Amino acid sequence: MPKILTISELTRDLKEVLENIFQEVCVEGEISNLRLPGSGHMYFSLKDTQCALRCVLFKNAGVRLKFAPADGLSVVASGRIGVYGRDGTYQLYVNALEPKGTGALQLAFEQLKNRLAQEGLFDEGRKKALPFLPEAIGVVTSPTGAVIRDILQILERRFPQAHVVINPVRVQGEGAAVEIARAVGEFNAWGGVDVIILARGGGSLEDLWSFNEEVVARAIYASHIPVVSAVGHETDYTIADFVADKRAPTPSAAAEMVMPSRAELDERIGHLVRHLWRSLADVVPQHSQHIDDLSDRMRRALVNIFEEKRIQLDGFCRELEALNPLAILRRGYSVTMRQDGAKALRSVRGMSAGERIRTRFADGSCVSRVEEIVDEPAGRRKR
Amino acid sequence: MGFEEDLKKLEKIIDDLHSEKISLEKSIEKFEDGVKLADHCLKTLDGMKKKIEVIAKAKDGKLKIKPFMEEAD
Repeated sequence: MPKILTISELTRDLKEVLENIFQEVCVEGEISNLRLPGSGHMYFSLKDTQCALRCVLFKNAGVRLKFAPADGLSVVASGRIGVYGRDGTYQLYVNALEPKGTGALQLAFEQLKNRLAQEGLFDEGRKKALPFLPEAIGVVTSPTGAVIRDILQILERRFPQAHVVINPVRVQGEGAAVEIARAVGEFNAWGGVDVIILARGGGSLEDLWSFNEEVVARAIYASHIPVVSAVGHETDYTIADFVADKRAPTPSAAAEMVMPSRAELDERIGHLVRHLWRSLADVVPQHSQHIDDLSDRMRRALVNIFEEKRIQLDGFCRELEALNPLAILRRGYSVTMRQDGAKALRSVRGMSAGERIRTRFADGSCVSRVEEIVDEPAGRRKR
Repeated sequence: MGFEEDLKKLEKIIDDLHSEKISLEKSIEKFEDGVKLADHCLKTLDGMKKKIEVIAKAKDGKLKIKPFMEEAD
């Protein structure tokens, strides 16, 4: 008969044995029953088709995770087995968790990308246009190395008078993401630049990782100043690329994107000025043509008026001719006046015998003396 | 006013000058505006100065802008 043990004694023995043997285990399985209580610790089970293993991931290990564990995810967990006496259970205290199949970073990338996309951080509608001619370009990158040199070289070539302000940061390693995010924030708080380039040269997924971190994505999203991301090579896509207002395939391309070419601008302005002068040169003849047209029309109108008036005048002349007393005289009539010729005599009344009168004919006049006044009633008929 | 807006305005003026309906007074006025805009654009370009600077953080956390000297790798 074995010795009778208390539960605590047995548990202590089991704990000693188990924890001694399973100090370091690696186990693969599928996450289920994941619980995330407010404490920040993570509780879940790992299972295969037959068995399940309770796992706990403490907060301090959890914050190091690049990806977010989720039910149904196949993982490899490493840690130690511990006995939890109160419940009489054993569990795996996880200190590292790796997704199975894809790498942790790859998974983390996809997870963050999906989450931020759902939150609307990549929406095209909120992307800002780059300034046409930036007054100052902010560059967040390492102050040493090929990237800044390439950017400055391209700017020198395109627009030698460019104003560049570099905010130097580490572009990889622990804390780099926070520095990058802070640098974007500093440019925004300062306001001395009107476009920001985030740049880093090529590297592995791990090297570029800072640009996949949420803090960088949030800083880009919060920036009032348009941000151009230029991280890695043409084929590398980072979260920063998705949030940025514009993605440049390389740092050099970013420099070309933000700064127009001085030579092209000069050419464009020159072209416009030539065009402007030509338009004026076109406008004046166009107007002189118009003036010619007008004067032509005026001349024609005047000619018409003259013509009309002339015809009218002819009419008047004919009318006058008809009324001309000389014409009447030519027809055989004559006019009798007092000798002084001041007034035509229309009646015998007022005339007296012996008076001298003047008679006007068509071709002259004669002066005669009145011998006798004959009052003729025929004169009355006219009345 | 923005450089790009100026260029756009200048282009618009040239379009307007080509329109048939514009009066001579108006076209001369527009032409003068165009010359001013072009002049302004060129002055903007000529007024730009090459400056390469770097932000340095002072001990009190304030930003200091200094000329940039490229360091060796």
